[in-house]
Amino acid sequence: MFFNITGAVAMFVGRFFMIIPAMAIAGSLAEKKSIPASTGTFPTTGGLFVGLVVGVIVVVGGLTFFPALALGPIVEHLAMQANTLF
Amino acid sequence: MDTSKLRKRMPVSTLFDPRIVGPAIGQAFVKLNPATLIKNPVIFVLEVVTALVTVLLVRDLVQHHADTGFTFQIVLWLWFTVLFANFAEAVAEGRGKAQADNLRKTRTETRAKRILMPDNYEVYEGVPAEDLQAGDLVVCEAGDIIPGDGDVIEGIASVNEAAITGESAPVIRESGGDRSAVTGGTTVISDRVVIRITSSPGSSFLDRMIKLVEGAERQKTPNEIALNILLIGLTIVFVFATATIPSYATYAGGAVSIVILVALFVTLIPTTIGALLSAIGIAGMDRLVRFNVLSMSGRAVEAAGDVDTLLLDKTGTVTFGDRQATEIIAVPGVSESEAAAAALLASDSDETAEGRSIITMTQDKYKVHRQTAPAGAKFIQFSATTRLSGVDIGDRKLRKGAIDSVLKFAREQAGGDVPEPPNFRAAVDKIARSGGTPLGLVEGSRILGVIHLKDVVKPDVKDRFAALRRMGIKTVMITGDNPVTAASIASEAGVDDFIAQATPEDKLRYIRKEQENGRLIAMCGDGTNDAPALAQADVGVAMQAGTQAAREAGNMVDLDSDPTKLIEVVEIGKQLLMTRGALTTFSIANDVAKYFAIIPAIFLAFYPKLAVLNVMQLTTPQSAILSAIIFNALIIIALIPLALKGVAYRPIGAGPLLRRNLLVYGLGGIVLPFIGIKAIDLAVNALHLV
Repeated sequence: MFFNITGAVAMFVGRFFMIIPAMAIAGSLAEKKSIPASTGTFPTTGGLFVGLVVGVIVVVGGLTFFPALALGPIVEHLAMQANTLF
Repeated sequence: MDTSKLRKRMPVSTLFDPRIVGPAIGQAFVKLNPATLIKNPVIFVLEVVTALVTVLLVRDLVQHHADTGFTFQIVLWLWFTVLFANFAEAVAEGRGKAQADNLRKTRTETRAKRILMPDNYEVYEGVPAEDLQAGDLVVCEAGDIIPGDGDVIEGIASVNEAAITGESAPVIRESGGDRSAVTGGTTVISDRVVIRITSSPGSSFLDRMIKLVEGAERQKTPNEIALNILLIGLTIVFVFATATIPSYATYAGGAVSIVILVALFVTLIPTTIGALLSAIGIAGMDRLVRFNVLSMSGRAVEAAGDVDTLLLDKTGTVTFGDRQATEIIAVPGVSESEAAAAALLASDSDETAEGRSIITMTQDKYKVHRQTAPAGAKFIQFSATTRLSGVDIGDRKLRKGAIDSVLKFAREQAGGDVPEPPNFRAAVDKIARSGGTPLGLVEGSRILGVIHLKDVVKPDVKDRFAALRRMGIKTVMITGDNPVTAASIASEAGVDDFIAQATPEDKLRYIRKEQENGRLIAMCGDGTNDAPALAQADVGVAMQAGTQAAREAGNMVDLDSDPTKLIEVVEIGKQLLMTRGALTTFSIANDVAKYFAIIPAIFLAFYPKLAVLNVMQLTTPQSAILSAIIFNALIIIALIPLALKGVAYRPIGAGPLLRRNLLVYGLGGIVLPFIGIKAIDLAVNALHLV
């Protein structure tokens, strides 16, 4: 019962309430002036930018969910391989 | 970029000077006060959870629990972490204080001679300097210390400003014009001036300077606030990440102690950057002060790092400011060496910069041998009415000066019209077109040739502007010259743009236009007519030698009055932002290794299979957790020198620079703690700490 309710609340909040900060970021970005690019501008078209964005998502996301990941899927995978899952 | 030629006169303390470290250790304990620590949210959270486990430790001790030795060590290292964080800030502040003390030594008990009646400057009374109010008139005579900031309203004096600038050569201060501002604490060396005090007690330039370097007036900058929000966000994320762990433990059929959860939480929250953030900011200001630049706000230092357009005054920045002779064009029938010899003779007693440059040029370029002036030579000094200078040696009358004045002189000598030699006018026009000043040379009624006077571009500026372009910064030259001269100097110096015949409104309009396009502008200036532009620019560097109005309008003051310093200011700003970014990346990247140390350690009891995640092969769960905590504390101390010194900056453009720093601080931040934690684990087990 506890896990059902908290799980439902978590899913609801995670699905819909994330819109609020996302909209706030969009609004803040829309207000910003566009600045002409120069050599001092960080190029957002190369592999470096792709690597940086992917890297940040993987590391920050990984840090957030590592405990859940380690104790859920990973431990179950290890248990399954050792035939101790069920 | 060559910065070594800049004089660093402010004392530089070594990183761990005992005179700074001693008081800083004491300060680290004083800063434990939660009321002040709350300004640094991450470290405040750290202190709260540390206090919590301390209470738990006391409870365990009272109830005689078995495992208190381990808990005690965790608690001990957590307190060390808080203290190390405070220590980092205290060391940075201590360095500032050491500089402030040096300034304070110069602030001596001064007595002022206050004028009693505004219309009679001869009658005055002695009052202590701190009693002076803004608007008071004071008299300063030779040997007097100027009691406060103000403007000279009568007289002219040479003033020693060593107390403020460290420069012992006296400067001239006079009423009216751009050299009227005087600073309290400086000494009048000769003559007598009447000064109107402009600062109220306690808010003089020297007072503000002391407060600034002490960090007393430090406010968080927009960038720091944004970073703080990110750090708070991460802290909240990790609150949830750790708070859910007991549920997993319950599911696995066990329980995790609060001490271990706190240990995990503390290693995850960005304590490293949280601890070093204010130290980085203070150190940035500190570096500026060492370059003899005072920033009125941390915000300006950061803005300097993001500047993309630099407005530079031509005179003194791009060029030497005094015109120098570069060549002599002789008219037909006159040999070059004859004209050069005549030019040397005519300039022999000319003490102006132009005259001296003619002497140097004739000797270097035309190999004329300088002889002592013949007896009976009568030197004629330049005067504004004749616009000529020269020498009379017997019947020889040598003159040099403005073209029309020289022609007039030749006509007077001949007593009639003198024909212009064939290529004389052509040479004059050529020099004028190239942006130079033609100077006529005449002997009696005979025209000898034209001397080319040129505003010489400083030899190293082209490289500096090229470096700025690589940094992505556009340079704009401001000059009062006509557009032709301006264009020629601009192309020679390699600036990107120029404003010719610039009025104060032109400068202001240019800055506004650039700002509307989203650019950040830095400029430097010294005159009252620069004040509006200095105030409008995002970074306005006023020269200490400039007027009070300019100094009030700018958000930085350069004590050396060296306009090229703007380039160093930009570098320091960039370095500050980069250091913050690099250490944040490092701090967050560190967490990867800490998870691999602590998560298997917590759950090994329930899930023995999780030993695969123990990639560092840490000996026992307890030693793993303790090692992670110890690493987390020690890394703060290890990074203090980097935070104070700043990350190395190279002008190679944003992309390559970021790639380099990502490799060093991102990848390094992931790899280093694996090695560090393993090493500490080995040490912990060797010492049998758990």
